[in-house]
Amino acid sequence: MLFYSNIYLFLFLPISLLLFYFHKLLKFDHKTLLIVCGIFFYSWWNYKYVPLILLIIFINYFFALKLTLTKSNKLILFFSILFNILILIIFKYLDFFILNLNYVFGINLETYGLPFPLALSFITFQVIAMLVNCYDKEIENLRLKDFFIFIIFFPQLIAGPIVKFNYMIKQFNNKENQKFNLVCFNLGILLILIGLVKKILLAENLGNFVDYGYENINLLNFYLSWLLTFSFTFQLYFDFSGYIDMATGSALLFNIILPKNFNSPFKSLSIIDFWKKWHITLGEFLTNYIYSPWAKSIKKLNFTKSMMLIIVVFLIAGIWHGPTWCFLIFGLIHGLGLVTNHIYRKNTIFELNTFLSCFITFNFVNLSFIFFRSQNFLEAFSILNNLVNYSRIIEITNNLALVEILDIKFYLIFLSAILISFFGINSNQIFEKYKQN
Amino acid sequence: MNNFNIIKKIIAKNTGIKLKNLLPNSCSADFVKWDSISNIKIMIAIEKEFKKKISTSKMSELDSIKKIENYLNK
Repeated sequence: MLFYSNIYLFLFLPISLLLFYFHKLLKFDHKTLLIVCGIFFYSWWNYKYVPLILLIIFINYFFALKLTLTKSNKLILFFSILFNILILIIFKYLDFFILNLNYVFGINLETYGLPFPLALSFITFQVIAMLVNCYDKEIENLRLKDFFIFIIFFPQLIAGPIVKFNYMIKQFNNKENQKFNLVCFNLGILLILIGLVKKILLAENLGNFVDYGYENINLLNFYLSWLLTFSFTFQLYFDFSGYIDMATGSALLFNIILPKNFNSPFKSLSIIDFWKKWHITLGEFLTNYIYSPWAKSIKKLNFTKSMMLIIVVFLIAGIWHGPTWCFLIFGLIHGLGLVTNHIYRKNTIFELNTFLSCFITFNFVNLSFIFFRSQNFLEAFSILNNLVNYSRIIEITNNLALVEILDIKFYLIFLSAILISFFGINSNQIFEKYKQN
Repeated sequence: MNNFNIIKKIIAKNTGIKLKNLLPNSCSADFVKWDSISNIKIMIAIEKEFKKKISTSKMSELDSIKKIENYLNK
């Protein structure tokens, strides 16, 4: 069920809200109702995968309980994390490994073609973070219902933000949050509307050109290739941040505040800054649960070792996005970008001016997204080649379909995307302003 | 030497920030050099110096001198 579908907006969400606010009349606990809503929401995509998700929840609950009850048990932590990574590997990366083995060794192993259970990537990271918190004894009195609602709360179930257990459960346990709150409700509706505009008006319209462009790369001249890369960068941003706005808005209708995930990332002045503003909860997860423990375990951690670690962490982040070499390269590019940024900071005294910093950062991100969107290296390098093919600068494209897609409406939307990304206030700022008022 | 001075020295050593620029209410956001990478180095050094374990998720939260002091005083 998509957040911008009629079934979600006009049926599922209103019914869930009614059930939530009238749970006492129905003699049901509010958490139980939200769990049922979450399972229904998930089963809408593919009910056959509900038992798998439930099994993952039950097994992880068992691990978490063990971790909270026993004194520092590294073995349980190790096996619990291994279990989650194995599940992810089986459903997401198994075929990718088999295809690569076939290619490298010239063998012909059969692929399994398992459909990927929706939300598994986010659930894996969220659960791993939670298990580490249990190991660190930051979670006490763990209850099955709390664990369930932490995983299956539908506004953040599919694509995040990645939330922390204590942060969420505190809010679910707060009795005030079970009462109707007009401020939260209005703000929730406002954020859902902002998300809808971002997704339907901006991302989808830019997406029409992006889809056509990527299917017909050979038709693109120098100018259209640059336009394509910019369009995809804005499409991705408005698509994902629009989704997060709708998720945050939906959660607010239930008086739950989700952590912010985007903070005007294209205004970033460096790539380090960018990762503090783009997919913030993923960046925090990578730092807190992969980079930090790893760095801590390294004897005599120095600058070179920490830089190498950054690259490894971003390779993991890249492949986490999807089982393709292009995602891995995307991660590598960002890892190298961060390392370059750190080296620059360490060795340079003068700072670049704001405009130049923003310009370099945005273009770096824009070029890296070519690998994010491309299906394979051939596609990515064709576009990169077009971007520097000056002989095609004055080439005119007479393709009718392209002329139709690139109408005045497209350019107005493209211009709006630029203005909003670089000069507009973002959803978090609107949220803060509204709360203050 | 009190905790504040020890913390200050550790931060200065691991970030390259001058001692005189570190004040009781300084935090990572005040300095470009005090980023997430150097913060981890600071945490490792604090653990060693004060012989107190800092949990994984606490590490990124302890991003100011005040917060580190409060954590150590707990």
